[in-house]
This record gives sequence, structure tokens and C-alpha cells, in this order.
Amino acid sequence: MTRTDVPRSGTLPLVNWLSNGGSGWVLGLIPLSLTLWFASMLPPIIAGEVLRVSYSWIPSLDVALAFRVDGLSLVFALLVVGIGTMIVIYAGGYMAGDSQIGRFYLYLFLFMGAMLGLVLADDIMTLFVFWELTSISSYLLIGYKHAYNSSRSAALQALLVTGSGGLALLAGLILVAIAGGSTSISTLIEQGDLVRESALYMPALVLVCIGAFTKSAQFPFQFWLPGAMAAPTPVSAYLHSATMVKAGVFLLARFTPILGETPAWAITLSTFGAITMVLGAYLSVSQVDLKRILAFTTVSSLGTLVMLIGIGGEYAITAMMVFLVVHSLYKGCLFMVAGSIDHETGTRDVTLLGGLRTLMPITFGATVLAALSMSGLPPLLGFVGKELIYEATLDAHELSPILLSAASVVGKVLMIIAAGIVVVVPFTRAQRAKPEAPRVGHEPPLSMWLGPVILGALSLLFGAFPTQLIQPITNSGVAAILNEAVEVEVKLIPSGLTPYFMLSVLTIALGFVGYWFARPTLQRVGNATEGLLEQGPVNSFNAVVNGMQALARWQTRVLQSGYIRNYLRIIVSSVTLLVSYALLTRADFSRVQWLPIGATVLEWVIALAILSGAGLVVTAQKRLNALAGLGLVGYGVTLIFLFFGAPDLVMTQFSIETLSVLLFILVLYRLPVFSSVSSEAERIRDAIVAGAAGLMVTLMVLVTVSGQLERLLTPYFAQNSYPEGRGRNVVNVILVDFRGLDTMGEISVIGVAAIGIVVLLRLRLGGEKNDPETVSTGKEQL
Amino acid sequence: METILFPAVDLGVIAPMFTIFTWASVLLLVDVFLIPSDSKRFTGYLALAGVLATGIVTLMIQVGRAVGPGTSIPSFSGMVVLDSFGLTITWIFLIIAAITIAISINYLPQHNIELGEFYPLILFATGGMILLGQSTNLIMIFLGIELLSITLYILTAFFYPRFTSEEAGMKYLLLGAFAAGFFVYGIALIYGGAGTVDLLEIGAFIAAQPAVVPGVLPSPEVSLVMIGGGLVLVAFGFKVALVPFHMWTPDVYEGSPTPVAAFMSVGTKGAAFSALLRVLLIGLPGLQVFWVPVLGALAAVTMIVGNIGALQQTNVKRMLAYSSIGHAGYILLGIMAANERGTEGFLFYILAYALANLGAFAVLIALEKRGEMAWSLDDFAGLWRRQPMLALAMAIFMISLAGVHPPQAFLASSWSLRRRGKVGRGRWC
Repeated sequence: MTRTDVPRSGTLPLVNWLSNGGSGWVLGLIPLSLTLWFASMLPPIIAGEVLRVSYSWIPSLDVALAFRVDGLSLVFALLVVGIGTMIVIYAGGYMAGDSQIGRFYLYLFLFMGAMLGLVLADDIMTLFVFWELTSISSYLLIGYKHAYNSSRSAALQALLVTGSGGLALLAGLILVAIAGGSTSISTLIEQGDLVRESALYMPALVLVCIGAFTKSAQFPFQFWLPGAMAAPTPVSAYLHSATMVKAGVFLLARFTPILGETPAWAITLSTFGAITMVLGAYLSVSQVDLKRILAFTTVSSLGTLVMLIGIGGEYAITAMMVFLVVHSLYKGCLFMVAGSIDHETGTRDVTLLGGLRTLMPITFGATVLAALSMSGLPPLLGFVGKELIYEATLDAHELSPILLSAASVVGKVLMIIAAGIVVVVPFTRAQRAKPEAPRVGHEPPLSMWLGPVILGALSLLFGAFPTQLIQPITNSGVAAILNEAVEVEVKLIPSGLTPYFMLSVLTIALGFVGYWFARPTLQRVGNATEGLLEQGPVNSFNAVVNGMQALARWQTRVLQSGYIRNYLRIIVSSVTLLVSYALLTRADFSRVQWLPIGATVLEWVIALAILSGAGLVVTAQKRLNALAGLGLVGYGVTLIFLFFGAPDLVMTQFSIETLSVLLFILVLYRLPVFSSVSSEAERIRDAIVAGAAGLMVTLMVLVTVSGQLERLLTPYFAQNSYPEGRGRNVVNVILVDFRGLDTMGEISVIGVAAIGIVVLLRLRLGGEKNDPETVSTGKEQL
Repeated sequence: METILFPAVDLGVIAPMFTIFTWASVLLLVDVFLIPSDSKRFTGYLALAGVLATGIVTLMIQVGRAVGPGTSIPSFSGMVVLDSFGLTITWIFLIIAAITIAISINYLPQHNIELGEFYPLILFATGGMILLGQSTNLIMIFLGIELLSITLYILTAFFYPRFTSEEAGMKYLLLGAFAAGFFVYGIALIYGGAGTVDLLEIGAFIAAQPAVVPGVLPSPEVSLVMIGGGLVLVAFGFKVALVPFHMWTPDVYEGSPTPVAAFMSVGTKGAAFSALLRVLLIGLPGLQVFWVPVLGALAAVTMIVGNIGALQQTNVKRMLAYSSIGHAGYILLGIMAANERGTEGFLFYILAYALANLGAFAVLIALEKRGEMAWSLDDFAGLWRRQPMLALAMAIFMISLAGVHPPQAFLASSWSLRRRGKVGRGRWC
């Protein structure tokens, strides 16, 4: 018996249990305790209190790490941690045996924290930081199965869409902060009029809407959500149905008192919401993958929520709050069920499944409850939600009650069909003689059916007693959104044969008829239009992404050619443009002497010499000739100095010119013959650039010498050289006295340069001598 | 013979600079005469000691002169100034220098380019950077830029016998000389207009003139200052790699030895920006109507071109070069804010950026040391499995670079991930 056997035999059962799903039970305690903690806040919140805490964060920018618990944020927080508890337990079972489950939990809890921070934030900068964190953690979760290319590209797609939305949101939030004069959400809520009356209102509205629409998968950004189904199912159940995608809805609800209650707001939100609602439901019925069906119904539900916020008013907002809870409960349940089916049978394709009712009875029970809630049948909470939605749309007199109600009916009918596909096909369809699914299903472990059962049961419980259980919470939520106390009744039994109830009955009837008779037709039509409606946005997204890459390639090719002559051309053109702009707009040309009147013969001669030198440089076929031209220009300039009374400069310039010509010749001696001459077109282009630059410099010099400067520098030096510098040569005194430090500095620079040149020479000489191998291998010579 | 009166100089003001220059000069001699050629790393340690000594002197000055917010001690006829901005940026430069030397000590022998002069040259460049941080005089700024640049031309070409290194040195030298020409011409015009090269006096001169407003022609003097200022901006644009003066950056970073590229990416940028900050905020605040739109346009173009350019790079050094171009645009925004908060933000950004960027380059060096020439992004595939600590460090630096400007680094890393997906061995990043 070795020493290591002792502890191992003692801990093995625990380790086994933890790695086989037990970890979910343990970690589930964290969100569970949070749920209880948030639940304990219910009484004061329902009583109308608002709890706030604030920590100073960036005081100089007046940004605080501030949180606020009111009816709206509490409902969201309870959903986040409550459903989170089920998901963590479920994930323990679903991911059992996954070697990287630790990483999975890390991302999941990162997301949970981010989402909690987002819904509780009371400062728009705090809100934004958590908003971005949800995007990033969602990216990590979607790409969790990083070995698959599809996961990675879906993750990137989701990140790019929500990330660009985040940028728009940031801009929108900053505009709101500027217009409202504060970053605190509580303050902004009280000063909503300030924002609405500001000139920045429209841009802020558009930008905030883009942020919310990308996050909540509204048309035309709905395409990333079905793609995100590449994530493990617990993630889809949590992020892409119950919580993260609701962040956009939350944002719109949160900003209702700040940006809402205007025609622009109502029209934008209700239009996009209604389109998304119908489009999502329509696309869902032609899918065969369980998760994709559910993903598209999620898109549809999100559209419903956005539409309701757009309609506004206490009834629509109450409907929104109720439907939010309804949707989170049934969608979380159905996604977990889809995961269980996938986990147990090995497929999510409904055409391959059947007869699971007897094999997975508990799961079946939960599914039926959830699907009935989704279909809006009494006595489930879905029915209550649907009644309220119809009440809201039929009363949306400022918009278009008929259009919105019709859209809602169509959306709901299609949802019933989708619910039917999710329940009826896999569970109750007769088991084929030879099952096509890879494995025969059986009931999953407790950890995987507990969550669905609880959520399904809650749908039933809340549906049976909405007035007692749901109404207080939604009323406080609505009060938080509308910033005024409300009392809207949420009830199961309709008060007589109201139009809403009639519409509800009609919907259910149409739904059942549609499921039994119209489903094949719908699926055919759906498949036919799939390319346009489903692939269209994906393709345009890809086109944008590829276009950006192409732009990057083009930019690199054009700007980064590697040839210094191209770099110089770009620099010279830019400077010419920049300085010409400054010259033409700012300089005074009125005193410029355009014609060389009064120039002496000597000056003409020198000027011509310089010009011909320049001409020689440009036209020379041999380097030596060009050099001679350059020398001519240099000596011409020296002569100008000579005739205008600057003998010191003449001496300097003369030595430098001579020296540089000599050095040039020494270098040229070792260079190959000038053989490749640029083409005609290139030369014309270069001539234009050079000509423009020359013109710009000429203009600059003309302007410089034309102005009658008020103060001249020369007298100062002429007067002070002798008394202060003790020298009669003004130039010398300037160099060694007035600007002595500069001169010393320049000498040091030259010293450093000399040292450097010595070093470089030593490297080359030493390198050749010491290590011939390095030279010859050329491995690093890219 | 009458006695010649020297103007009073306060050596304390230039004490950090003085220390590092003296140390560099002495170290040069020590290296040649005392240190045998097979133990040149000792020169590196001495150079580190020099940075440390300079740090101690800086600390003594900071405490001894009670330099705090609002302190401003000019000396040498107002050519250099001791203030808390200059000292803060000095500290950042010393950190940069220390890290550069530390990562070079093993790098140089590895690549057979170990010469003792490397370290004094880094010290000279650092001295130039400190001078730039303290100058309040255009000529001094020019001196600082030259001192820094000439050292860098040499250091860039240090990677013998790599052709790209020589090419990079050559390109940098030619374009740098061009920029220096702009700078000198700009100084001359400003001097002609304002009659002084002292930033404070230039500021006072412009303030005394009628206010510059768009649409009205300023006086000839002010227009001279304005045109000169434009040329000076061009030269700064070259030094800090603003688009369209940025093209040298990727070529030079790729060609030069990695520690030099690291040094350049943060050092030159920080020094040139701190000088630009003084020029704009002390010398030319009266011309804001002129330079704010120009710099705004340059910053915007720089951010866009830098970030988009990074997307398609497969060479990590070139990617970091584009990243540094993009960062220049962001830093410029802090300067354009033209207020105390902008300056604070600038210093903070430079420090954060310096640490992250130096760190990223240090990871590259560590990889090169282990025999991997990690210049292609594909080389990073599976790094986590081979070098978990380095991979973690690189991830932190990348996230840090992303944190200060998210789109570029995030997109760049995502795309690099995609590309690795294609070769089918991707796992990390």
C-alpha cells in the first residue's frame, strides 16, 4: 500500500460525485442564496421603496459605481439568479464528465455577475461596463466548444454584432448624459423632460435603440441569435432565452422615463418589435432543429416585448412585465428539455425523434406545462400574458390598433404551431419501428429534470393565482418604468366576453387548426423563403466583415508599399495640402510682390544657374550628372548669401556643399549603374507632386518676406553682441554665447552620432570576422 | 579685463538628465577599457545601475525641491523647466529604459549582436527623452528630438546582418532627416514671427496680438507663427507616427531588434507627445482655432488607419506597430482636450500603454529566446500548451491594449483566431 492510496480512497466518492454532476448542486447554492436574498427585498419594493447604494468611482467625471433596486431591476435580478440556480444545477448534469467544466462555470458565473450588475446599475457608465461584460462573457460561452469552427465563427458574429451595438449605445449614453446633465439613472429619470426636449434627443434615441436592438436580436439584427445556438445548451437556455437577450429589453424599459413617451419612440419600437415578432415566429415553424425552433420563438418573443414597450402606457407595460416572466419561465424550461433530449438521444432533429413520452415521462410533463404556457392556454401564466398583450394592442389608439393586433395574432398563432412541434412531434408521435435517433432516450438524472419541472410548475402556479402572486411585483415594476404608481389588475378569469378574450379564443382555435392542417404548407413556404429572410442578413453581415478585411488589405497595399519613395510622395503631398490650406485661408497675399521687379542682372544670372541646376538634377540619366546639378544649386545659393552680406553663412554653406558633393561621389562610386528609370506616367505624377510642393514653398517664402514685420530681430543682436558677448562677430556670439547651450547640445548630438557610426562599423567588421555562419545562413533575412 | 557675468543656472533642474548623460559617457569609456568582450552583459547591469541612480537623483530632486502640482522652476534662461509633469514623465521614461535594458541583456548575445555600446546608447536616448519632457524652448526640443532620433537610427540598424534591419535604419534615417527639416523650418518661421523660441514668450506674444478667429486674416507675425506651427506639427506627426506620416513604423519595428522596437514604440512616442503637449498648451494655446481641427482630423485618420491596418497583419511586430499607430491617435485626443484632465489622462495612458506594450514585446523576446521566432501570428497557435505562463502574460497584455482601445485588439485577436482556425490547430487566444 503506497502512501498516496490513503487519501485517495477517502476522497474518491466525493471527487466522483463532483465530476459527475455534483458540482452543479454545490455551485447552485450561490445563485440560490442570492435568489433568497433578492426575494427578501420583495416586501419593501412592493411597498414602493427604492433601495440605492453608491460608491465613488471616477469622481472627476462624476461617475459612480451606483446600484438601484426598484420593481424593474428586482424582477430582472430574480429572473437572473432564480433561473440561474436551475441552470447551474442543470449544467452540472449536462456537462458531467467534461474535462473543462471549470472554465465553463467560470464564464457562466462571470456572465451572471455581469447581468446582475447591468440590471441593478444606477449609473449609465456602470450600466455600460456591465453591458459590455455580458457581450464578452457571451462570446466566451458561445465559443466554448472552441474546437469547432462553427462555434468560433458564431461567437465572433455575436460579439461583432453586440459589440458594435455596444459602441452605438456608448455614444447614445454619452449624449443622454450631456442632454440630461448627469450620469445617474435616478437623476435622469427625474429629469426626463430635459433629455426629451434636448436637440440631442433624436441621435440619442437612435443610438440607444441600435444598442438595444442588437442585444435583443431585433430586426434586422436578429440573425446572430440562432447562430449563438452553437453554445452548450445550458448557455442557450440561460443567455439566449432567459437573460442576456433581455438586456436590450431591460435597457429600453429602464430608459422609458428618460427617452420614452414620444411619438418617435413609440413608432420606432412598436414597428421594429412587431416585425421581429412576426418574422421570428414565421421562421421558427420551418425549422427542424429543436434549439433553432426555440431560438426563433425567442426572437419573436423579444419582438413582442419591444413592441409593448413602444406602445407604452400602464396596460402595455404591465403586459410587458407579465410576458417577460411568462417567457423566461417557459423558454428556460423548453431549452433545458431540448438539451436533455439531445443529451439522451444524441440528436435535436425533430424529424428523427418520436415516442419520448413513455421514455422520459417527467421531462414530458414539464414540457407540456411549458408548451401550454407558450401557447397561451388557461390556466397557465401564458394565457394571462396573452390577454394583457391583446388588451394593450387593441387600445394602442395612438398607433394602429388593428395592425398591431393582427400582427400579435399572427405571431401567437405561429407560436402555438411551434409549441406543437416542440411537444407533439418528439414526445407523442408514435415511435417508429426502427428509431432513427442515435440512441434510445431515457429519463435524464434528477439534476436535469428538476429545473424544467420547477419552471413548468411555476408557470402553472403563477397562472392559477396571478392576482396574488404576480400582480404586486408587476405593479411595482411598472411603477418603476413609468415613474408613477399604478394599479393594474392581473387576473386569470376574463371579465366577461371582452374583445381581448374573443381574440384569445380565436388565436387558440387558429393555432390548433393551423398545427393540424397548415403545418406542411407553412414549412414549404418557410423553406422557400429561408434564403431571403434567414440567410439575407447573415450574408450582408458577412459582406460587411469581408469588406472591412478587403479595405485593410487595400490600405496596407497602398500605404505600406515598403518603398521609401512612395512614403515620401505621400508625406510631401500631405504636407503640401496641409500647408497650402493654411496659406490660402490664413495668409495675407495683398502685399506679395509677384514679379521680380528691380532684380539686378547678377541676381538673374544666379537664379538661372540654380534653375538649370535643378533641371539637370531632374533630367539626368546618370547619378554623377544629377550630382553636378545638385552642386550647382548649392553653390548658387551660396552666391546669394555672398551678395546679400552674409559672409559667415557663405563659408559654412560652401564647405558643406563641397563636402557633401565629395561624400556623395564616394558613395556613388560603390553603387550599381542607374538602370531602371520610372515610367512616363509615374514621372508625370511625381512632377505634379514635386511641382505642387515647390509652389507651396515659393508661396510660403513670398508671404514670409512680404509682411512688414513690426519688430526686427537683427538690431537686438547688433546692439547686444559686444556689450554682453564681448565679440564683434555677431554670428559667432550668437553661436557660442546667446545660444551656447544649443551649440553644446548639437555638438553632443554629433558625438553620439559618431559613437553610433563606430558601433555599426564594428558590428559589420566584427560580424564578418567572428561569425561567418550568421552571415551565410541568412535565416533571419526576411 | 572685465569679468563676464554668467546667467544664474540651477543645475538641480537638469539633475536627472545630467546624471544619465554623465553615466552614459562614463559607461562608454568603462565599457571600452575595462569590460572584456565576453562579459558585455556587465555593461548592461551597469546601465541598469545608471537608470537606478538617475531614479534616486530624480527622487531627491522631487523631494528636495518639493515638486508638486503647480511647481515650476525654470532654469538656463527658461529653456528647461522642473515641474511635476516633467518629473512624472521622467519616471515613466526611466521605467521604460530599465525594462528595455533588462530585456536586452539576454537578447543581444542570443542574436550575436552584443556590443557594449548598445547600453550607453539607450541611456543617451533616455536622456534625450527626459530633455524633451522638460524643454520649454523650441531649440531644446529640437535638440532632444535629434538626440533621441540619431540614437534610434543606430539602434534600429543594430541587427547585423539582417537586411531588414539595415533597410529599417536607412528608411528611418532618411524620413527622420526629412522631418527634422520640417521642424527646423518651422522653428525658423516661428522665430521670425514671434521673435523668440521660448514657448512661454511665444504664448505671451500670441496672447498680446488680436485674438485669432476663423475667417479673419491674422497679422503677418501671427500667420508666420501659424505656418511654422504647422510645419512643427508635421515633424511631431512623423515622430509619433500619425497618419499620413506613419509609414515608417511597421517597417522599422519589424526590422529593428525587438528590444529597440519595444523602446521605440513607447519611448519616442511618450517623449515626442510630451514635447508636443508643451508646444501646444504653452506656446500655441492662442492658436487653438487653427490646430484643433487639424489635429482632430489627424487623430481620426490615425485611429482609423491604424486599427484597420492591424486587421490584416500576420506578423506580430507589424501588428504591434499598427497598434501603436492607433494608440497615437487616442493619445492625441487627450492632448487636444487641452486641459488638466487631458494632461492627467495623457500621463496615465502613456504609463499604461508603455507597460502593456513593453510586456507584449518582452513576451516576443522570451519566445525568440526559446528558439521560436514568433513573428507570425500562426506561431502563437497552441502557445498555451507549450508556454502557459507566457501565453497568460501575452493574453493580459493584449487585453490591456484592448482595454485602452477595444476595437482594434479585439478584432485583431479575433481574426488571428479565425486564421488559426483554418490551419486547424488553434486553441488559445
